[in-house]
Amino acid sequence: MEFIESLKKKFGERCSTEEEVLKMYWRDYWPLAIMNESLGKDGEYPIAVIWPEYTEEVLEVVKLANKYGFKIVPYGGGSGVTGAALGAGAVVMDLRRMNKIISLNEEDLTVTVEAGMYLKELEEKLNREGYTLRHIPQSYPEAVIGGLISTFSIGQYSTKYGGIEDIVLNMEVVTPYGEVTWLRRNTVPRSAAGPDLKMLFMGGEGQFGIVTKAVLRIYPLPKYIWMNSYIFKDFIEANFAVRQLLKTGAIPAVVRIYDKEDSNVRFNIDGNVMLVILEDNNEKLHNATIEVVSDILASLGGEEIGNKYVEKWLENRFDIISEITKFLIPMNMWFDTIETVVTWSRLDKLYWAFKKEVAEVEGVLPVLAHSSHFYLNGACIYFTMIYEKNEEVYWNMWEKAMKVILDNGGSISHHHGVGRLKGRWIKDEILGGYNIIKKIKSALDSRNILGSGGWI
Amino acid sequence: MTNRYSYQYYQKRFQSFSEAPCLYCPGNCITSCPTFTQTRNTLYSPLGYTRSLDIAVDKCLKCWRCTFSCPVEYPLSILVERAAERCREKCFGYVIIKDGGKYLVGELEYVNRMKVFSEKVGLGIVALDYVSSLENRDSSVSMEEKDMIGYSPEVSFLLGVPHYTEVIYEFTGNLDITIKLHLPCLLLPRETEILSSLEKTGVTVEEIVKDVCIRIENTGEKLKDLYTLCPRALETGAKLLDDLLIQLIGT
Repeated sequence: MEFIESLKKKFGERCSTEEEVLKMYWRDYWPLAIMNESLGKDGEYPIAVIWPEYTEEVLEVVKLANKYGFKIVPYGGGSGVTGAALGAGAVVMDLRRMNKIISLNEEDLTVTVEAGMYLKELEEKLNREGYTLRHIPQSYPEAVIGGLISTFSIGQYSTKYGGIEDIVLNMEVVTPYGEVTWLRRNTVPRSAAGPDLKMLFMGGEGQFGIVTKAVLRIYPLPKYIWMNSYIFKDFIEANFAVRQLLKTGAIPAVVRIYDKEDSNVRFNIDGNVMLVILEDNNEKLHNATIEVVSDILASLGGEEIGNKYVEKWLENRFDIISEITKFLIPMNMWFDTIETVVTWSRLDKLYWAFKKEVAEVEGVLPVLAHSSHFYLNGACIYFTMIYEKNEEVYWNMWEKAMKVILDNGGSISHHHGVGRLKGRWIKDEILGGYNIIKKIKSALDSRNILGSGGWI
Repeated sequence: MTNRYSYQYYQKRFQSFSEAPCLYCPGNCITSCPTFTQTRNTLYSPLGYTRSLDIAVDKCLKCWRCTFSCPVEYPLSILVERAAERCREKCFGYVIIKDGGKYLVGELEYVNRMKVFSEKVGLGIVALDYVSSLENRDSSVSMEEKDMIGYSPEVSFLLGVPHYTEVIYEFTGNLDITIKLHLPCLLLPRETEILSSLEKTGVTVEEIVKDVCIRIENTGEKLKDLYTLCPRALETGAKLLDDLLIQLIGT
């Protein structure tokens, strides 16, 4: 193929068509894809993998793609769980050689980085300078900045620090029609100069452009950290206790509430466990918040059980593999997680409907749930599913889960994104918005060169 | 109990896995892998090595960093060794160079360095003479029990004995010095013990560099202002901590 020759000429060893390499880039961390791979059923491989080192090289590939009509799938850590980065038949563009910190601005509290930089590497470097992004998702060891932006990521400290949309102030993108641009000439905290275009790329899953650089907000590392755990008799009441904290203005950095089944599995405790972490940089403010949080949680039924459960969570929070190797593989079972977000008034109904109806799907074991991101208006519930290692069971489970969520006032995704997995339900959620997105996509990318083609 | 920082510990661990966890993991260890951080190609990471063992035999450095950062401590290096079909039964020959209550044990090629060091701290010396295996980090070891202290990271790891920096405080007075330290791959899990021991002997570590593996090219520049515990780094022009200690002890 002529364009492959062009890429090889341009990139040399930074372009590979070797089978061993292509094998590593056909999927992301979509549980269905991993399950199939473990059963010896790999998906279609990409046709090549390239590693650009500069924005200009990204641009050149985009121009070649337009000329020859091949597809590009931007690739970062490969830790997305929805199949948004499947490389089938495409040229996978691995952005991880674009991994420099361009500048750290301590006066403005910003850091400018290339999109292929690992979050973990960036956070560790920031920590050494006394700063933090405080964007710590479970994929912290594997995710890169561009991927976090493209999948609309959120971290475990979101209740205080927000999601990726609150951290990204500006970005450089390469458009599918072959232009490089920053989205704003000057990085500013907020601007009303036109629509906020960065939101087109948040959750864009690589379909509207390739993010190559970003300016991110940083925070001083917290000086004062307090943690505690509580047991509540009722899962919903525990969630409402957090609503009360937020209404009062006592904002925890982390709150996680595990329902009875989840608490039993994770902590061997009978009850609904709540973990709380408070972080501050001022001692008076910190002490006042501790007092308010303690009073409110106690008054709303929280029984204090000490911080060892928070410590346990902190120790294991990035470990996905222990339980898979210990339980799922020997039992020939498989896993997935379904995250939704719902307003307070519908939280109760959605939670119970999901727990009941999804567990009734044949081949699915009882569903575990925890809430982990909180807003003044509602909360994210994160369901953990264990089921028979069988693709039919898998899709029956998802079909039921999406219906229950949409019928009960939730969103089909709080932070995992859409990808190949949820493409069939996106119209049911965003209604006519889907047509807007489709028209934007065809205007920007008339030859449809960008993205794995998941849902547009 | 088998020393948790030893080859034998991980060898036992390996037997508990029926499959490589890397087949199911998104790469908790990935940024710890020197060949991946150099290439940013997933094939040259533990995820790739698990799937393409012939490539692993050629490319994996067996630095063990992935094992140390893996939630289930999967000893990928052992999988790679088996793929290479190297002999597992070889033992080290050893020579007692100098008797003592405790022995400093290291590779034969470092015997002159060990002599100077042991003179200062009053240790016996054992030299291992199966150097190539140590370089390849792939052989189990059978030596009669002695009270041993490792000179190099490889020896400490393979024999499951303390590295000399973990016990240096037993042999010196207050050295009163501040340094920047390079911690080599195989000593990464012992960071706490090493820092605590150095502190007890008056060596303050103001900066510690852990992300440099000397088996990757062009590391000399990164080690320029540091003292390393890796004798193989001498080839890159790095300064060894034991040279500094020799100057300080007894002065």
